[in-house]
Amino acid sequence: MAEPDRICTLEIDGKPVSVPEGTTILEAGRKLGIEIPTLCHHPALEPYGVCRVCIVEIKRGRRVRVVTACNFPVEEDGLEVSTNSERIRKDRRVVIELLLARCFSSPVIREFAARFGVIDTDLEKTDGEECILCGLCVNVCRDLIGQAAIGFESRGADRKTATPFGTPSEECIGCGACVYVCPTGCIKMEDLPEERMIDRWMSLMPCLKCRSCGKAFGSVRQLELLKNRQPLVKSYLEMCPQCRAKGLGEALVGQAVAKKEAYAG
Amino acid sequence: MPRFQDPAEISEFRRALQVGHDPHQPYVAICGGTGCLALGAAEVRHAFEEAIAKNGAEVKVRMKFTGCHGFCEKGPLVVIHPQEHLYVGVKAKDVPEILEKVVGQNGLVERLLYQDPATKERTARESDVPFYRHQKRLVFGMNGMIDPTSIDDYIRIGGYSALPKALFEMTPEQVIAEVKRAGLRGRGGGGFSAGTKWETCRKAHGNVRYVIINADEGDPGAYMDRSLLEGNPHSVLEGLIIGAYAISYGLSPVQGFIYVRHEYPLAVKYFTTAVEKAREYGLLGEDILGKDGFNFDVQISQGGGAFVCGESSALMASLEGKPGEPRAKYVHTVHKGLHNQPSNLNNVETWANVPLIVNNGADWYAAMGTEGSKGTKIFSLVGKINHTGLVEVPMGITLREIVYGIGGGIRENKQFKAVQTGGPSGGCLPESLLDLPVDFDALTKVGSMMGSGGMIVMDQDTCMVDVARYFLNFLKGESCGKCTPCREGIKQILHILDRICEGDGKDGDLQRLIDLGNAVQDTSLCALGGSAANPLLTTINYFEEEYLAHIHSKRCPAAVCRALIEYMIVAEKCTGCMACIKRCPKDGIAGVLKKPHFIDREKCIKCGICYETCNFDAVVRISVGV
Repeated sequence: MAEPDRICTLEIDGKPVSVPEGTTILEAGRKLGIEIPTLCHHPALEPYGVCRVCIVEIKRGRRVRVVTACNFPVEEDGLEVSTNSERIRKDRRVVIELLLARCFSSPVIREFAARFGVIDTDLEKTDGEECILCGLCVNVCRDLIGQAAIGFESRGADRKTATPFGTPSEECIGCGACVYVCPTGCIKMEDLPEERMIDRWMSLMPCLKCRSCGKAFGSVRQLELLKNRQPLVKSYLEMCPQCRAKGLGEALVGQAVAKKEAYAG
Repeated sequence: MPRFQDPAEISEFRRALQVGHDPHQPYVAICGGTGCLALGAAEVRHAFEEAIAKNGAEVKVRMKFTGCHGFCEKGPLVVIHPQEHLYVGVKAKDVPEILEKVVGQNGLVERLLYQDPATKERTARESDVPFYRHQKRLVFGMNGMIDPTSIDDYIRIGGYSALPKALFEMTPEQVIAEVKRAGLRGRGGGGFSAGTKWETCRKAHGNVRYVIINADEGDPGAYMDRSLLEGNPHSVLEGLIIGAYAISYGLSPVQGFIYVRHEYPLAVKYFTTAVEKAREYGLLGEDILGKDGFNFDVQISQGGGAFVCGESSALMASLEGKPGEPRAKYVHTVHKGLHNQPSNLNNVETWANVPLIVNNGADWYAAMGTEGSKGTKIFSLVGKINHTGLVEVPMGITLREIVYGIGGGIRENKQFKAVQTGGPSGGCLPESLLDLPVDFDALTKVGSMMGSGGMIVMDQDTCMVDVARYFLNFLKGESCGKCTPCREGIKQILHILDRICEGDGKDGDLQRLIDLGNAVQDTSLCALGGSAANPLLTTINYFEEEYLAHIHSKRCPAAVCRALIEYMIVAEKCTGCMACIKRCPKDGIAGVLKKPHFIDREKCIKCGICYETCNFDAVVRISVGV
């Protein structure tokens, strides 16, 4: 088992770097200021390793192979990593082209591809698809929020993210974490006067009205969950952010007035 | 029913079984393997039961309904012991005649003996038939001798003798060293050293260890593991128990699993019976055979039919009740596998080799095969050859010996074109590589692989572009879709192949396919994607001219790709029988009785019915191109 304090030294693009055992190549690269591109990586989540744009070439002894930097743990000294070899550039270009062909409708992906000189592709394009199936929405919902409201449906080329049986998920609390982590912005959330809507999951969540101003501000179920999970004063979650700020201002002014009065007294 | 408390008891029990078994008493072994069952083995069995009962012959003749004998092409198979006379293609109506000869011990039923397709010579003894003569049936050979539901049968022929030897004469480390020295490599496709895997698993840190049988055999046309589980489940189980001891004893508790396809009901049934019997006999449970503190049992888990679940990390995810999707194995499953504990997974055939190694020693085992590949390998030999079936051959045998020696050559005296080894993601090898030895490394070197042992032989009428398309289509359907290159890359490759087969290939397609194939191979998450490009890249490598003919001349040299062919009637051969005219669904053939017919190209939908119907080879497929 990994001893927490062991330090491993490796070389990335010819530059040596020492990191604690178990550090990923991606993190080790960042320490050196070498930015390895990623799409499905999020610092709050365990690496899923599926988009494959973070591929690097590693050399251990005589064995050379391609691995993903986001989840390859450095466990010994002497690893030689190349983030931009000819093989990697060629492979990465194909992976990016595959993503571009899938998500030609996504401005984010087109811009991402353009950074690597891939402006267009002659591969078969899919119309209207903006999801790259990075899995961040599914993983954040299950692993961080603990709801598992969404998952994957079908397999292979038919794989997609979905709610159970294509109906609104009973588990969705309308927290918007999936919206926040989505790298292509293909999950949209909208706060209507009374409800919060996440179209992609057919979620329509009633919102709580601010105790102070009466304006709807957050999904009731999300706030319930937060109440149980965060050590916050109950009243804090019953007000909208604006009223919270106002309340805090009032309290501060009140304190200052009281202090002054005390001196005067 | 015995419950063995120590190794001496099982030896005594075996001796008693052997004494009660007169080797000279005739017995009829009916193959009950999947192939023979499909050809009517159950009726043959029933006929034997009836005939034996009617003749009151049971005292003299015993009958066994065994597992697969391998020569599936010629089923149902019946072997008469002790002479080992083999009858092929036996029907229920043949049974009284066979039985009469057996009881009277007066000769053979000549017409049911195997007949050589070329020389017309008949062979009586099973081991003299060319199909069997070139084989070395160490693992598979026991199938024909035992009733797979009888633990006593297995014990009688020497089964469960390796287990006490391992438990009481060897330390776990010695068992591992023996398996390692034997050079046993994983038979499921990976080809990794089994002994090294066991050793790593033993040295890994964990609260519990898992040993797993991978019986999620999913290659189209391959059924080696199925036939082992259906024919000799105890050999696999014994291997697993020995492995459990070697990997865990003295360190941690251990639990066994078998992950077996739901589509293999008979294998599930027989393996379940084997586990139950082993429990009754004290071969599973607590303090096995009286070995202090060695507690082990096996749980049977059925897969839902996903090809990718044969991949170890996907299989373990599925065992945990999660979707069967692989994960990166930079941290190996022997360290963190099932439930994040050290887990040792081996294929059915690998486990079945273990008792042989323990009983006969590493030297004996390592004496067979090549430098890097030891022992034997079971192949599922199918396609355009005369003798299809399951064959077990020593490593190092050439592909030519398998195709021609055992397989009896190509059907209808056609030309050999390619052999695909290693299942759907194996490579297609041409005639010039037929003298290649069957060896893990040699096969990988030429772009193919040993895989789990699928072997498909193709003849001159096979279009290699179409073959690549067929396998890529299979893999597209079986990809889990988790990673980009496998999900999107296979789809795009297939799209280009479809275009080429439709006659819409264009300049640059070939290089595009190679680049896509290389990237999918390099960057996929698991071995499914990692090997998916093999059929594509090998067919381009060895049959490039066929691709070029499709792309540039819009011609399919094997006349297979529908968009590139025409059906024609050769006037000289046509007898004017009108059979094709009657069956054409489009009224697309014109002609009158006893005069040559003609196909109207405008009406022809290229369904091929006329081609299949004509008894005079007058209908031909041609691909002229542009």
